[in-house]
Amino acid sequence: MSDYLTYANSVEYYRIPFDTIVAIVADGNYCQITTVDSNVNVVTLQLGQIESLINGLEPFPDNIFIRIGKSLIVNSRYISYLSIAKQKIVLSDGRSFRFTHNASREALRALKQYLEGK
Amino acid sequence: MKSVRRNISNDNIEDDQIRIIGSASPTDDEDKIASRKPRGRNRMRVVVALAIALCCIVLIVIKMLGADSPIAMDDDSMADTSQEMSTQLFVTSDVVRYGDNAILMITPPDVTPILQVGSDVINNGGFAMAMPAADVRQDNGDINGSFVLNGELLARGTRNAGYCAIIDGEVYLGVSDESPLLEKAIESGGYFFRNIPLVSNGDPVQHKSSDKYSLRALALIDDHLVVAIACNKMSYAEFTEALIDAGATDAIRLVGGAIYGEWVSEGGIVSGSGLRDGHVSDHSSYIVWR
Repeated sequence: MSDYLTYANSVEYYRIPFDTIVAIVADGNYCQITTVDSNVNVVTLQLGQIESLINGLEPFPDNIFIRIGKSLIVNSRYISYLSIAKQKIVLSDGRSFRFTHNASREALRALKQYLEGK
Repeated sequence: MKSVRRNISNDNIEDDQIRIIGSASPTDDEDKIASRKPRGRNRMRVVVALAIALCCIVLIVIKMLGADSPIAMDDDSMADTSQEMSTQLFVTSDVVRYGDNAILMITPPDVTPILQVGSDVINNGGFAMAMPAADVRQDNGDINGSFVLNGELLARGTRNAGYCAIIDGEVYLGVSDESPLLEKAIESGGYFFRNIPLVSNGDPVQHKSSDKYSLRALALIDDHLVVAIACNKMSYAEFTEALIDAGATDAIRLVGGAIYGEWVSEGGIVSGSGLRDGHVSDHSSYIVWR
């Protein structure tokens, strides 16, 4: 079972449980991986590379990750609110963290459609 | 562990699209999403074309009538719009590597920060960045060290010699047990807080402890204020050396660890450090850029 997102460079090793990943935000050539403890892990990977990393996992993790536009990947299990009008998405476990991000109306409309169809 | 082919990028996606990662084949939802975009774009193109045509007609009519005033009115409305846009303040950030350590360097917008006190500073939002400033004493819950809020002296103490004074739009970082800037902050309605000194005039301030902590700092680099956040636990010596290596001439510690601070990057991306719903009190203090 692929329970962890693992990544290593010459000096660092990351082993982040998938179910603790809330969102991954692109930041130039880096990405900020926010976890449920509100910790922000900065990794020297681009968002597309992380997406490829997740895509290449076998077996695929239970958590469903959704790429929203060019700069955001979210863990769908933590999506608690989205507003097409406000162009806002909120991820939270309802207890210990709250992550807010902006997205386009079209992307949020598509996300709403996907979530309603699940 | 999976290897990463760094030359492979999976960025064939637009900002108005979503993609379910790991889907072997497109779902019905994705088909709908994909088909929605061209329609939306075509509709947008029609709207833009109509708007341009309408503007051309209006300009031709105005020119034929020789009327100048409507154009002047347009200038006013444009000025209002640019003023509105300029109120959106964001931080920029970069990561600096120092040996095995990484430090997130966040540059706040070029406005004078203020201090705020209270448990709702983060929740109230409306800032580009809000970072915990002074420690709270464990014995009585008061602010640790001298603290001036908008000219009002809320606490007095010199256990930490590092200070940050905000007076008449200027920010001063320094090390002194008896800085005259404390009195000046009171007299001018400014702000003042104390924390552990890290860098003074380009030199490291020595610390006895070699333990490693989740450290943050307010630093002066190239005459700009920068908030530095260690991505992993570091000793004071390591953190201080890294700050100097990054060009810091003066720096004091900001409250670190689990105490939550938050910032907004371009595009409204909200990021934070620490525990979002960790302990805060009425005496929690923040340095805020808004």
